Amino acid sequence: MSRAEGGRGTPGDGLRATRVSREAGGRIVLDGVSIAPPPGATVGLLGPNGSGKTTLLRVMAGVLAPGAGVVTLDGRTLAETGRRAVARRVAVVDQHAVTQVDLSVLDVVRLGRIPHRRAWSPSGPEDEDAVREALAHTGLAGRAGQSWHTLSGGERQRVQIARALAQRPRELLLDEPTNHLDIQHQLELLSLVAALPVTAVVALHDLNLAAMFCDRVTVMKEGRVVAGGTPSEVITEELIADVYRVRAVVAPEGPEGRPSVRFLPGRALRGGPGHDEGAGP
Amino acid sequence: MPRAAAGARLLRDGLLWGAGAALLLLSVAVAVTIGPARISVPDVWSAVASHLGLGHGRLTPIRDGIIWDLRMPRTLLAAVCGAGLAVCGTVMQSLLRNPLADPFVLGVSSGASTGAVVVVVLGVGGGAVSVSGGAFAGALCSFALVLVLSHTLGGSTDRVVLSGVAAMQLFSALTSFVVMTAADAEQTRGVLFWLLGSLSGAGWSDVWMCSAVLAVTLLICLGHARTLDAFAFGQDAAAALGVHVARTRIVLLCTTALLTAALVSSAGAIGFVGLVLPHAARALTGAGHRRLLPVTALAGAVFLVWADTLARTVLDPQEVPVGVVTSLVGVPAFILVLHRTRRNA
Amino acid sequence: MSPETPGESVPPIASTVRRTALLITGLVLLTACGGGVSASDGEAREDAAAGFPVTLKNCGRTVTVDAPPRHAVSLNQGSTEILLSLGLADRLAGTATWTDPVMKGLEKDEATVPRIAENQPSSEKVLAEEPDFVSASFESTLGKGGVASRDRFEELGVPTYLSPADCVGKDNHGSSDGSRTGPLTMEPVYGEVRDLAEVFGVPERGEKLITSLEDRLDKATADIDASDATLLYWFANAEAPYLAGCCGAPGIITEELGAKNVFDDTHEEWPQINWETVADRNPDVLVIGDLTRKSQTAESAEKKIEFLESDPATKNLDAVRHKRYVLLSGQAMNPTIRTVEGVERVAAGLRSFGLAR
Repeated sequence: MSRAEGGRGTPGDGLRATRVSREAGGRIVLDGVSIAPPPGATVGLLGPNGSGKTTLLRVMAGVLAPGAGVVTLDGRTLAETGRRAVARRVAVVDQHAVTQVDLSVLDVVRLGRIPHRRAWSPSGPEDEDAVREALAHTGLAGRAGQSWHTLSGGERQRVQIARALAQRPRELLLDEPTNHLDIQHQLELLSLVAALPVTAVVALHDLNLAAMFCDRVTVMKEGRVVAGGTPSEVITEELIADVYRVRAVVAPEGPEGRPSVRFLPGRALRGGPGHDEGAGP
Repeated sequence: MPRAAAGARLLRDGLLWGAGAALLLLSVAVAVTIGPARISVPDVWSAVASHLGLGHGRLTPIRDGIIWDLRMPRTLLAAVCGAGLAVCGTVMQSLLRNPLADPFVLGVSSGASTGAVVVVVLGVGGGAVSVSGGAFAGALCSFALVLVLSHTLGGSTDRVVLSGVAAMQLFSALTSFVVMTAADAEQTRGVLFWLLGSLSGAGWSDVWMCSAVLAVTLLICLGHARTLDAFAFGQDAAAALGVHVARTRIVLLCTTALLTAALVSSAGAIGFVGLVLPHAARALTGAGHRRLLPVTALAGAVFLVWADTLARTVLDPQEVPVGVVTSLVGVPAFILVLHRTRRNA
Repeated sequence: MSPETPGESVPPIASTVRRTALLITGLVLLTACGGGVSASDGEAREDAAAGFPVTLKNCGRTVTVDAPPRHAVSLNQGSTEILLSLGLADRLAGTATWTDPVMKGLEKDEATVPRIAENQPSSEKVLAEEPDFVSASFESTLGKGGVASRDRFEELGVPTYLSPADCVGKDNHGSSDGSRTGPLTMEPVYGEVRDLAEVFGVPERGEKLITSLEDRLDKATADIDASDATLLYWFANAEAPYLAGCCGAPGIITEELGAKNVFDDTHEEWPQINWETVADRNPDVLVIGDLTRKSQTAESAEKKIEFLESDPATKNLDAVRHKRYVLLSGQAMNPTIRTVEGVERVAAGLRSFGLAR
């Protein structure tokens, strides 16, 4: 694994991916991707399906190994930091969480304390507090005893987020957390995430939500980063046409003057200059 | 007050463990008094006590031998096997994320059958290798094959299960082949009876050996209790919680395979215990492995002690292989457990 | 006898009564000792009867019997019938595993011995009889999946004996590699008779039995030239029949008669062969097992004959068309004393079919 160019960075840098590449089944999934979320910020990760968002998040979590490039946490590589130490800092919420085990909401949230407990030590008051807070934050305090299998998709997502919160992470990686939620819960969830004093990287489909809640936005296409910056800078009609192949109207009509996107129906646009015609994502 | 609540919970847990252990002790004590030979209960207990250094027995050497050399090791081995198979089943089900997994899913029992049959029927190893030794060797071969196969196929959980299925089929076929071509009717009957799971040949050496392996395995599995919890949502979720997935998998698979091999080579392949008891225990204590593992072990021990008692008395003067009893009892028990958990869901 | 408390003197009348009782007991014991005891009758009460302890080599183990057994258990029918033929019914505490009706002539004796189980008993059931000797005909009965191992019995002080005919590669008769390379003869059976007679302290009865068996064999095989006759032995099961290979007990029968077993190129004792191969080899005579155990299909001879005459694969066999059947009990097809009976019946059959010149 090659070191990050220009040195290892300094402590306090948080989670960073530097020129990360990964191949799978002969296909290039990530190609030299660098992302350095500023500590405390909420970064939206945008891009169409297959652009590599999920893979990038997994590589950043240390679940997948990059073929090239390096992921560092406060200047040290993930391998140097150690799995448990990484898990105490970085929490991940997947798109779909599936289990056959008959778990209660409380059981699932308690899983978040696993990185903090050694094999033979019993749970302590700190664990109870973390779990309680996580349940309160996600509005699940009254449902602690309910079985996982009786929850709706959206409720399950909230429980997973509570579990991630119970880890008391400083970095939070969320893979399309709003997929199964209704509008109210989507807004609630993203407000919560944005308000938390953690560095959050959130993969999103909805450009408006990204515009509303993210401090910064990174756009990926076919395994590469094609844009990065504030929502106002990045979310433009040209970018949408280029990356998403649809026509839209973008106006600074969102809260605090953030961009608001209105999609225009009609034929999908053909690829912009330099791209193959009709080539799929 | 959190501390008081924790204290109360500790007390309650302590009482529950005490009750469970007492139930096991009581089961063993009662089971030892039951059997085809007519020996009165006080005589039985005085014989046991005399061997433990408390007082003198009143029985003839053979009757004393029936208690101390037949019934005692057999009942204790039943407890150890029940506990061991239940714990292995729990670990397999959690690690492989498959509620139908049992300790034999990695082909250990099929390999043991082949090893046993090769020793008995083909006379491999001359007189130097016992049937149990052959069974153990066969079990290890089968497990080694599963490891190699699953590694070359990628090493993930479902690859492990598929490799186990392949090994199981292969070694079962080998067993059948040897039996069909080389065994005579008497040999076949003898070996098959044992393979169905039979505690009738249990001796003290089996008890010591299996207890030792069980103790080590329990310690290792309890040490991995939280890790096993982390596997609930898959190996990637476990990795994201800081678990070293590959290493955990190898350690737990090897440990449980070793225990299963030891148990199978002592008592044949006793089915259903490793499949049903984990579900029953989960219905009692929930999914957290720190409590689930010991509860499963206790429940398995008590269950098999009684199943074996039934096996040796229900068809007096003959004996039914205990594996048959566990299946016959296990099926309705399984249905009951599934029904109960379905209503909760 | 109750222990006396020290310091208490026994009243004179009681001590006389005690001495008389001892004397009477001694006389009773003397007369109870059955025949076959040596000339020194006065020593019969003591444990060290003449010739004891008996030590013999049996299937790779040394078996030591300190005194003639008084309540032995026989776990297989073959062994039981030897003991009953030696007139030892009063020394048997129980028998087990009965596959055929008792040999003719032994019915009365057999009725006096309790059957512990019709099939294989559990180890505890056998030990509950507190046997002082256990005998068996099959190694699997005293092995894994059997009643209990020989080691287990020895640990409890019970000597065991296994029929030498079933020791695979472990005794002076068997081959060393685990299957019969040469055909069985009656020698191991005679050896078993001698051993058991010696253990029970009745060696001359053993010799008598062996002599009578040899005489029967001589009579049955006198003037028989069956070198052209081919035989097939069918033990059990119609779909995948167990037929005799070269070298088990049927081999004894074949050898004594000078005939040929149609499957004598097979070294397995009872391989499962299909009927097409049988049709291919076209045996002259079918020797059929008439079994009473219901655990497999086509048990009785009647059922077997029914099958042979109706099944398309077999009904055109020469032997079936000419009805050349010889019926044997299951015990006759095992290496036991009843194998002689098998020789007699097959010889009679060959003579009646005109195949013995």
